[in-house]
Amino acid sequence: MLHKGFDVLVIGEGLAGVLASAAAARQGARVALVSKGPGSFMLADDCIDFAALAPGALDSEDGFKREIQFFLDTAAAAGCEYRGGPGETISVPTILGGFRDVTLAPVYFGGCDPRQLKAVAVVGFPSILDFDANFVAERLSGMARNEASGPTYTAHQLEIAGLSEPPRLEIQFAARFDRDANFRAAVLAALASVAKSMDLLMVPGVLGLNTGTAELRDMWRQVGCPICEIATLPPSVLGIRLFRRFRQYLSRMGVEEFTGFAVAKVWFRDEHHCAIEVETPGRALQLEAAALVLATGAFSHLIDTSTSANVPSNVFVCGGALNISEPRNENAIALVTGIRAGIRAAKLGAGPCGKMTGDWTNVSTAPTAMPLAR
Amino acid sequence: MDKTQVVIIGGGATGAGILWDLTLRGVNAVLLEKADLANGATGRCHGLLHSGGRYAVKDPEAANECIRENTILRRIARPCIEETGGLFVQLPQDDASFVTQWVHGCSKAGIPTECLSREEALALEPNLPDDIVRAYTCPDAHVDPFQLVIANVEASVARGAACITYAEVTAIRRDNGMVTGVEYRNCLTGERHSITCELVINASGGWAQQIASLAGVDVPVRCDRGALLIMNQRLVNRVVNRCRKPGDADILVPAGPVCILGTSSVTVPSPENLVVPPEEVKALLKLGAELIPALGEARVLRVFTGARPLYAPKSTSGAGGREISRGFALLDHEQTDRVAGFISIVGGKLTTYRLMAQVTADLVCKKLGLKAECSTDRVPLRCYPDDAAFREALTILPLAVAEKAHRRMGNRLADLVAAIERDPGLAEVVCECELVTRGEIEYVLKDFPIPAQTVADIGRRTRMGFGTCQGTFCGYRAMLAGYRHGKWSAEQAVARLKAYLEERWKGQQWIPQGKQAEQLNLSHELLSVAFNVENEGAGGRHAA
Repeated sequence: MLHKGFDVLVIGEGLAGVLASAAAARQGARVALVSKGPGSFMLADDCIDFAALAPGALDSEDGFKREIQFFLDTAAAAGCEYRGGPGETISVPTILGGFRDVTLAPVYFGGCDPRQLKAVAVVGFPSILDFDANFVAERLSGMARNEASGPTYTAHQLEIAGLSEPPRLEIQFAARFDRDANFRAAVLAALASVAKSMDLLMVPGVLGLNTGTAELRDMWRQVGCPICEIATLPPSVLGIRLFRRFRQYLSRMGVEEFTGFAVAKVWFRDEHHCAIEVETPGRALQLEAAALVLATGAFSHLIDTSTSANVPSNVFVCGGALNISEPRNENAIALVTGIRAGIRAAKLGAGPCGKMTGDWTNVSTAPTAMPLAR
Repeated sequence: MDKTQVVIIGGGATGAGILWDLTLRGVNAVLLEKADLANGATGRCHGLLHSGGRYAVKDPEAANECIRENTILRRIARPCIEETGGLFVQLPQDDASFVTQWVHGCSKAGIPTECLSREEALALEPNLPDDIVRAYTCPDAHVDPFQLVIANVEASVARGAACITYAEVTAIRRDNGMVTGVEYRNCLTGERHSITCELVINASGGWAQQIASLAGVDVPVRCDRGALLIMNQRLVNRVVNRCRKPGDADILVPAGPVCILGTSSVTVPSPENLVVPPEEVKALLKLGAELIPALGEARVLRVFTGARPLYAPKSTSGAGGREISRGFALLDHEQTDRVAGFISIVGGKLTTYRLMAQVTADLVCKKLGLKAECSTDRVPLRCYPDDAAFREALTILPLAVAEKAHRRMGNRLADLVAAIERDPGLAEVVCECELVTRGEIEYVLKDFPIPAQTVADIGRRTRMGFGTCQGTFCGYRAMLAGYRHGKWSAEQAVARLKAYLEERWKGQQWIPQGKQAEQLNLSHELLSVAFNVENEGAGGRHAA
C-alpha cells in the first residue's frame, strides 16, 4: 500500500472540484485532486448563469462578487479570459441559431454582442456535418427581422485548400488545427477571405483543443476581425479546451492529480484526519489529509449526504453533490460552493495535522452525513 | 376534388392491412391518417406476435386465430419479424391446474409447444429465476409494428394505392343515407381537401367512436390503457410469458437491442393525453422481477403507453378491460344504422390485423359487387433484395449496419448503396444504437413512398432513436438533414426538433429514479445547453 499525505483532498473534477482545488492551493494548501474523469461542465459550452439562481438559494452578502472575481482571476490565470459579471447578461449563440443568455462567458464567444453589430458572417466547414452555417444564418436573420434590429447575417461554406481528407468530427478538426501548422494556416487564410468588411465571424467551436486567450487574439488579428466560436454537440471542443487549461493551471499551482480512478473507501479518524483509498489497477493507493472536499456531482453517491447528524467537521460538500441544483443554475452553484469549500478546507488543513499516521485500516467509521458548505 | 372507390380512415395495422388487401384485389383505395402511420395502439404495444398461448385457456377461438395468423405473418412479413420463439414459465407459486388447462388449450388450438425441464429452460434463458418449475416453448415472436405497417402501405402504394398522413377527417359526407365522401384537413398546413368515394371504412382504433359520430353512428369503444417499460438491454432472447391467468407485467419481449416489459390495464376516457403514474411503473417492475429477477436492477430507458381499443357493446359494459374479448367486430352500418357505405372494424389485436383486413375487404367486395379473392396470406409484403445488392452493401458498410438496413429497406437497399457510392458521407452512422446511416435518413425524407414529415416520423421509418440511448443527438442530425433537403425551413426544422425532444422527454419523466434518471438528467441538461430550446421561445432575457 502506497501512502501520501496532503492538507486537502478533493474528490471530483467538475467545475466545483477544479475551483475548490484552485482555491485551496491559492491558500497555500497541499492539494490532491482525485477523479474518475471530467465533470459535465467540461462537456458543454463553459458558460455560467447566475440569473437562474433563486435569491436565498445560497448565502451571499455581496451578490457573489468575491467568488466571481476569484473565478475570473483563476480562469484568466489558466489562459482563458471570461466576460461578464454579477447582474450582466451575455448572449451566446447556439448551434440552433438562437441565443442563450448567461452571466459569464469565455472570450471564445467573440467578446461582443452580435446583435449590436452590422455584418456577421456565419461560417461552416463542409466536412463538419453537425454544424450548418446556412441553417444558423437563416434563423439568426429571421430573429433580426422579427426584432427589426441586428446585423445582416450571411452564410459561407469554406473548403480548406489542399486538403485531401478533411476531418469529419469537431474534435479531430481541432486536434489537427493544433498539430498541423499547414492546416492551421489554411483554415485561418480561408477565414480571412470571408472576414473582409465583417464585424464578426461565427464558426463552429473547432479552432484547437489548447487555444487560450492569447492564441485567440492572435487569430483575430490574423483573420482581421473577432471570431465567435459556437459550442457544438457535447462533448464540445470549447469544454475540453477549458478543462485542459484548468488542469494545466492546477498542475502549475502544485495540485497533485490522481485521474481515472474511483474512490474505494473513505475513513475518518477524528476532526483533523481523513483518508481515502483509490482504486488503482496496480498497487493500492491511500491518500491522507486533514480535510476532504466532496465535489462528486449529482451522479455519484460516495457518501450519503441526505442528513446532517453526526458529521465530521472536516468534510466540505460542494457543487452537484449538494443536491440543491436546478436546471441552468448548476454551474453557478458549483462556482460559489466550490470556491468556498476549497478555502474552508485549506484553513482547516493549515492546522496542526498534515502528519502521516500510517495504517488506517482499523479506523473505518464512514459517516452517514456531511456538513453542507453553503 | 379527388375520387376513389374506398377511403380507409386510420393508419394503424388494421387500416394498412385493409389498404394492402383491397389493392391486391384491384380496388382503388386511399388511406387517411391524422398523424403518422402506427401512431395509435399499433405503435404503442409490446410488438408481440402472439402464438396464441396467452389466450389458450380463456379464449380458444382467439388462440386459434393467433396461431394461424402467426404462421402466415412469419412467412409474408419476414423482414418485420424476429423469430425469437417464446417461453411460458411456471413459477412455484403459480396454479398447477392452470398449467394443465393451458397445455390442453394449446394442443386444441393447434399451438405447438414443448415442455422444458427447469435445467433446460435455464440453459436457454439464464435470467429466469432458479426455482422455476418448468417452461413450455411456443412460436411467439417479436414484430416491429412500425415496419409492419410501413411495409403494408409501401407495397400498396407501389401498386397504385394512396396514403396521406397528417390528414384528419373532419366530415363524412352523406346523401340520402348514403356515404358519398370525406372531408379532411392537413394538420401540418391547415389546408382542407375532400375525396369522393363509394365506401368509407372506419379503422381508427381508439378514435373509432369519434369517427363514427361524423357519420351519425355510435360505435362503443372502450379505451384500455396499458403501460410498457423499455429496459436497457436484452435480458431475454425469447418472449417470456408467465404461465398463469393473464395479468399485469407478465410478458417480456426482446426487441432489437432492448426488451419491453408490460403491461397494465386501466380504462381511460380517450386514447390521447395518456399519463402513467409512477406507482404503476414501480408495480410493473415489482411484478416483472418475479418472472425475471434481473429486472429489479436493470435500467428503465423509457415508459410509454397506448390505449387498446376494445369493442364494448352495451351487454359487456360492466366488465373490466381484460374481461372484454380481444376479438374484433366488423360492423356494417347499412345493416345496423341504415347508413349505407360506412363500415367500422373495431377491437382485435396486432397479431390478427391481416385477418381483420381480410374480412373487411370481403365485405367491401360484396358491397361493390366484385368477385376477388384475398391473397394477403400468399403475397410477401417486402422482398429481400438479391444477394448481389447485399454483398455490395457489405463492401461499404459494416456488417451490422448492412444487415439492419437490409431488413428495413428490403429491395431498395440497392438505392442506398448507389447513393453512398456517389456521396461517401452518407455512410455515416447517425443513430448508433439502431445503426441508421445518414443515407437511410435522407432516403425516408426524400424518396420514400410515404415521406417523413417530422423528426419522429424518421424514427418510425428507420428505428432512429429507438435504441438504448432513446434519441440523444440523432434528432438534431435528422433535423439538419430535413433542412438541407429543403423539406423544412430553419424555423420549421427547429419547431420539429422541439416537438421531438418534448415527446422523448415526456416518456422519460415517468422513470421513477435511480441511475437512469440521473443519466437522463445529464443528457437533458447537456442538450438544454447546446440547443437552449426551452428558453429561446420567449426571446430570453435580452428581448425582455
